[in-house]
Amino acid sequence: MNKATINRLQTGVPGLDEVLGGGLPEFSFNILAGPPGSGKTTLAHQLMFALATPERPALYFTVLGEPPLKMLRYQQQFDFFDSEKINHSIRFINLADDTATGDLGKVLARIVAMVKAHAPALVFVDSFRSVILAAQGNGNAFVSLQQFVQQLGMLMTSWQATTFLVGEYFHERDPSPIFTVADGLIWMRQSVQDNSIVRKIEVMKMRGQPTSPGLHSFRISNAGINVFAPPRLSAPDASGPEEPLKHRVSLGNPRLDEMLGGGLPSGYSLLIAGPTGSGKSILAGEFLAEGARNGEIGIIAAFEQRPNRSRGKLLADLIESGKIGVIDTQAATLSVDEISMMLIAEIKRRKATRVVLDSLSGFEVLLAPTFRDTFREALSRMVSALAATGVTMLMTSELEDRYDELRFSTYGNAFMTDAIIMQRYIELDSRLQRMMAVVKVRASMHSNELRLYHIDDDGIQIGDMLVDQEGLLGGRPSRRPEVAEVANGTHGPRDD
Amino acid sequence: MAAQPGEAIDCAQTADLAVATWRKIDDALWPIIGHAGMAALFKRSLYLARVDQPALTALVEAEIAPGNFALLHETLAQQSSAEVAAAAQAGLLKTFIDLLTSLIGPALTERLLRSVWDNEPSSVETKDTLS
Repeated sequence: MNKATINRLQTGVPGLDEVLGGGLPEFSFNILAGPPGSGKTTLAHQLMFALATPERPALYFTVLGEPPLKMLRYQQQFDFFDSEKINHSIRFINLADDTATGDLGKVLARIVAMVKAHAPALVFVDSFRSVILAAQGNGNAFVSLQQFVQQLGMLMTSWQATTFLVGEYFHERDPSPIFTVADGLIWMRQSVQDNSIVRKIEVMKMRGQPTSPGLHSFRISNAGINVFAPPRLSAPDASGPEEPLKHRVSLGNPRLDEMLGGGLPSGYSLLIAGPTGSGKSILAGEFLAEGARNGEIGIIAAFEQRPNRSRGKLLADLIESGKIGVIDTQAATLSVDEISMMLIAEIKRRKATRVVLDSLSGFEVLLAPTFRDTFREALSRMVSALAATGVTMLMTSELEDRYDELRFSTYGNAFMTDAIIMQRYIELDSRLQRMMAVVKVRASMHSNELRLYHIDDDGIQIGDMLVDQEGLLGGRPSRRPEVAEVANGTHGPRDD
Repeated sequence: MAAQPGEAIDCAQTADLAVATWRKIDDALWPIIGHAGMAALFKRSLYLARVDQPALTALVEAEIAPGNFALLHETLAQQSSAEVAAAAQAGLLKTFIDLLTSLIGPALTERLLRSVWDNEPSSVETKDTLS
C-alpha cells in the first residue's frame, strides 16, 4: 500500500530544519507564537522570502496589530528581504478593514477570496491575536474563533497551502482550541536572567516527525534568525578514527608524547586539568603549533584571554598566517550549542584536524546564566559531536588545588574525555614546583610517572621522575625513608 | 474654460489625469496597507505639499473618505490654469512618494508603485522623481 508522501520544505532559517526534524511538512497548519518582540514576524518573513517562488507564491495577511508600513520598514532591513519578490511571488494583504467589523465571517470570506484569486502555496496571518481581540470586542460574532480557525485550517489544507498563524499568546499553558487544530506549534520567547537576554525557540508540536525537543537558543542579526540546534550525534563515518591507536599525533613535546605512550591517539579528546599558572594554555599552544608544523589546520576557541592580549608570539604568528583559526567567543549571551555549531562549521570549512578549547572553566563563566545549569549535558553533547568530525581535541580545565582529593575538574567532565593529563603544584626544597602526570589514555598503555617540569622561553620542559619522593599528590612530598638513608644519612626523617 | 490655441489640455483634463493616477496608487497600496493607511498617507502628503502648492490648502482641512478623490478633482479643476493644476498635482505626488520612500525605502516604494506607471505615458518623468 502506498502512503501519502509528506514533502518537507527547507525553511532557509539556519538550524531550524534540524530542530523541526528535517524541515517543515508541506500543507501543514502552523502557529508561530510568543510574546511581543520575540521574533515571530521576523521568522515568518524569513521563511516566506526563502520559500516563496513564482511557482510557490505566498500571501501575507496583516491584521491590525503592527501597521504594515512599519512592518515593511523594519523587515526590509534584513538581508533576506527582497523587494523584487513583492507583488510577484509575495503579496501582502491587509485585513484591517475586515477585522475592524469584528465579524470573523467577513475576515474568513476575504481570506478565501484572496486565496482563490492568487492560489498561494504559502499563507501567513499576522497577527492572529488581533483577530481574537477583534472577535471578542464584538458581541454578535456569527463565527466563533474556534470555528474560524477550524474552517481556516480545513480550507488551507484543501487549497494545498502551508499556513502560518503568527500570534502573541501570553499563556502558553492555556489550553487554547487553536493549538489542537494546529499541526505545528513553534514557540518563541526571551529569557531574561541577571542582565542577559537570550532568545529561545521551541517546537512544541510538529505532526508526523521527530523534532528536537526543548528550548534552542537563537540570535537575530542582519542576516535574520539563526537557530542553534544541538549538534547531531551521527555515527562516525569511514574517515573517522576507526582505529585511532594506529595513528598518534604529537603534542609537540617529545617527553610528554612518550608519557602518553607515543603521542595522543588521533581523534581522541584530551583534558588538561591543572591549577592557574600551571601552563595549560602553553601546552595547548604547543599542540596547535605542532599541527601547523605538519601542515595541519588548527582551531582555537579561547574563553579567557582577550583577543588583543598576547597568546605567545608563535601562536599569534600562526593565527596571523591563517594556519590556526580563532572562534570568536566574545558574545555575551553564549550557549554551548552555539559554540558547537561555530566550531563544527569552522572545522568543516577549514578541514581542521586539531581543536583547542581553552578553558572549559572560562567557557562556563562566559555562558549566559540561563545555560549554566545544563552546562555538563551540553558540553558532553558538544564533545561527542566534535569527536564525530574526527578531530583531535585538547581541552583545558582549571583545577582548584586541593590536596585531600583527586579531582580532575569541577564539572565532573573528566568522564567524557579519552585522555587526561593532570598538573599540580608541589612544595619541594622550599620551592613551588610543578608536576605533571598522565592519568588516563583510553585503551592505551601510558606512563604512570609523576614528572617535574618547568616553563621557560622554549615552553614546557619536562624533567625526571621524583623517585626519591613520596606524598607528591598531597602537595607536601617527603623523601622516602630508605632512599633518604641511602642517599644521605644525615637527613632527618619525614617531618610529619 | 475654453482651451487656448496651443494649449494641450485644460484644468479639467489635468484633474482627470491626476485622479486616474491617484486611483492607481490607491489600488496598488490599499490592499497592502489598508484603506486607513492609504488615507493617512494621502492626508499627510496634502499637509506637507500645501506649503509649496497653496492650491491644495483647501483640501487639508476637508473630510476625505478613503479612496475618494472627488474633492481633489474639484480643487484641481478650479485652478486658474492647467499649469497651476499640473504643478499642484506634481507637488502632491512628489510629496507622497517622498513620504512613502522615507518610510519603506526607494526599492520597495518603486516595487509597490510599479503597476501605477505601467502603460502610462508620463511614467518616465514620474520615475525620475524616485531616483
